[in-house]
Order: sequence, then C-alpha cells, then structure tokens
Amino acid sequence: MELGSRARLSAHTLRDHLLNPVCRTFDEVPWCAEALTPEWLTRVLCDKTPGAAISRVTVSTASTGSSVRKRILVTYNTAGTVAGLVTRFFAKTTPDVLTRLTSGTSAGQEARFFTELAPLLPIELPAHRRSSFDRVSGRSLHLFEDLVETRAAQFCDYRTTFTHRQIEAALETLACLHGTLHGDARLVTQFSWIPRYETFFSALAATGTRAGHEQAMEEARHLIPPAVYAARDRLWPAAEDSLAEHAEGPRSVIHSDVHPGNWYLTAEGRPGLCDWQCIAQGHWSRDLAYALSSMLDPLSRRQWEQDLLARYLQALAAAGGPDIPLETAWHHYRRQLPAALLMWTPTLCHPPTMPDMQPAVVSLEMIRRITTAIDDLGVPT
Amino acid sequence: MRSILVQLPPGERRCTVAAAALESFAREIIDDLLFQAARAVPDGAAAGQVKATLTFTVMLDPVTGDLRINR
Repeated sequence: MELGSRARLSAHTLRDHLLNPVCRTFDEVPWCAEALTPEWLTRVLCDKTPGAAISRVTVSTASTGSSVRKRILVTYNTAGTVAGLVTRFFAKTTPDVLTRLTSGTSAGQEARFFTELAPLLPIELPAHRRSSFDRVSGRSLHLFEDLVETRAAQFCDYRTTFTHRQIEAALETLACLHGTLHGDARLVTQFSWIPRYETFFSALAATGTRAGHEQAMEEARHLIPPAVYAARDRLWPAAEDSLAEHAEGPRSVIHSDVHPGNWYLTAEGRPGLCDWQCIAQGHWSRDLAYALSSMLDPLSRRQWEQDLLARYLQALAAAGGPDIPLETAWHHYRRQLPAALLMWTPTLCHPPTMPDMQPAVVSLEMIRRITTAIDDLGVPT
Repeated sequence: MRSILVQLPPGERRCTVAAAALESFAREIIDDLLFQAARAVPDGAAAGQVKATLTFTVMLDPVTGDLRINR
C-alpha cells in the first residue's frame, strides 16, 4: 500500500541525507546545491560556448525560508573564461522535508513561469538558467544568474524605503503582468497549469493556517490597531469573501506574494520581482492591495496611495487590462487587504509542516503595515 | 487524536483490533516517524542513522475493559 505524500517526501528526504547522492546524469534533479557537479553545470551553462567547461563549483550559504538559497561560484576552463561567461549564480533548492512540503511540490509552477510565461512579459526578472524538479521526491532546483553580479542589483526587504518613483515602477510592473494576459483565452488552454487563486488559498488553509492566523493576531496585538484587533474574528471570513472577486470577471496572472522581500532594484533603480512559486490566476487587486500595504510604511502609503492607484490603473489599461474607474479599484483594494494579511499571520505562527519562512521581525512589521491599512481603509463588518 | 481500540472484554481471552483501524494506525505511525526523522536529520548525516521517538498513552475503559492506544 502506498503511504501519503508527507511520508513519501519524508522518506525521500531521509534517503537523500543519508546517501548524499551527487548528480550523475543531467536528467537527475540535484537534491541540494552541494550535489551540483561541474559536469551537470557545464551542460546548463556552457551549451552555447564550444569548448567551455566548468572545472570547479563552490557553494556558499545565502538564506533559508520556503526554500534553501545558496550562492554558486563556478570556475571555467580557458574557453569559458575567454568567453566571459557568468561566474556567479543563485540556487533555490528544497533539501529538507519542510521546504519540500512547502515548495518542492509547487516548484513546477515557478519553473514553467520562467520558461513559458516570462518570455511574454516585458518586465524586470531574474535571469533564469535552469529549473529541475521532481514532484515525487520533492527535490527541486532553480538556478539564476546572481543579480548582484550581473545587474548590480540590491535585494529589498522590510527596511527598504521605496521612493515614489520606485513604487510607481513596481506597480507598473504588476500592471504589465496583470494586463498582458488579462482574460486571455490561453489561461484555460496553454496556461491552465497556473492554478486559480482560490485553489492556492484553499491549499494554504488546508495546512492549518487559520489557527496560526488567530494565534498571530494575539502575539502581534501590540502592533495591531485596536479596531482591527476588535474585528479579528471577521478577518478570515473577509478574506474568504474576497475570493469571490477572483471569479467575478476575466482573470489575470497574479504573483500573489509581492511583499518587499521579493523585489530587487537594479543599478538603474528599476524594480524586479522574484519568487514566482505562488503564481495564480486571479483578480489583479489581490497583488495591488498586498503591494501597497506591505511595501510602504503607513505614512507614505496614506500620502501616495490615491496617486499610485490611478497610475496603476493607467498602466493596467495600457498593458491590455480592463479600464477600471478609480472608485471601483479602491473598493477592490480595500476588499483584498485581509487576504494580504493572511500571508503573514500564518508566517509568524506557522503549522509544524511549514518552515520558518521569515524572521519574526519581518512578519510583525508586515502585520503592522497591513492591519494599519485595513484600519485606514475600513475594517470588515 | 490518532488512536486505536484494543478490544479485551472482561472474561475474554482474545485481544483484537479491527484490521482497517490497524492499517490506518500503522500508516499514521509510519508517517509520523518518517516526518520526525526527516525533520531531525542533520546535514552531513551520510550513511548514518536517525533516531525518531514517538510517545503513546494507553488508557483502559473501565466499563468495557477495552484498551485505547493514543498517539
């Protein structure tokens, strides 16, 4: 008899750790960044440069969250060096059981985003070189050029103070994403692999995130406006109610996790978006509400949000999206805020099957910003 | 709570569990053990072994005389 998916992913994780296999063939999925061999990487990185080969691979730690991120430094032979091939890369892998449960089985979506959808989108994105994944074992690897080397990029986080122009450019990026395939017939054919947002929400809820949300509302109480805390029992139902908006009209492709830590700024100050594993088909306002409420401190948001919303709507229409009156957009913006909050309360207090995806200080700041936005725009009744 | 009923009626010599319940209980124990072991496995544990411990309680039903093993 076959065991369930958690047992299967656990068993594969144990076997990988105990055997520590390296990749012998190109078709194998590396179980961790350290399993990458010069031969495997040569196939990926030197395929367009005759004679080039990698002689050495050096792996160093970057960060850990929903995946384990490592920096990869490769050393080329003379042909590769003379050709000026990129030497620094960034790998996202799922070597342990919690990252496999969280990201391993959805790795295919991020891989397909970069291979199938990204070429259609004129937005700033990480230079993707290879994705490799196996749903059965939960092994996955996404390999990108290291933006710090190739574009002198700076990764953002909750401490980043976005200028008005930078946040405007970030919203233009989202508008381009949302508008390009808005209501496109290919969403039910060629791109039907992109899950509906409701499915994404249900999958999260099925892991026990509601209990974590409720616990987090207590743990973060000192940061939550009193009116929002008083309405805490209505926040989860409000997020569930907002799911209806996704099905009300033509859908867009949405990123779903547009918090500041998933943005970077190129040397020219152009915002780029990474971490596409939560990609979904849904209502554009879900990303808009999450971006405005999480990327800006409340003072800047209050000052800029009307203007930014208007600019976003212009960009959305220009990218092929719908022409939405400002008042209607404001309604959607307000209604999607509880769903944005539910990305962070279960991150602060997560079920045992989820890894520590973010330091508590980040989750608390996101909860403070989003609940403040809920308070400003109107607590759900 | 994951549990299984062990039937041991007073005066009976036989001790039984339902086959379907036994299978379900065993699957859950294996799932728990593998998950705990996978969470505990350290980096660089190559060719080693991983310890995993589960705790159970056994309760007596004073009326029926049956036992319930709870995970």
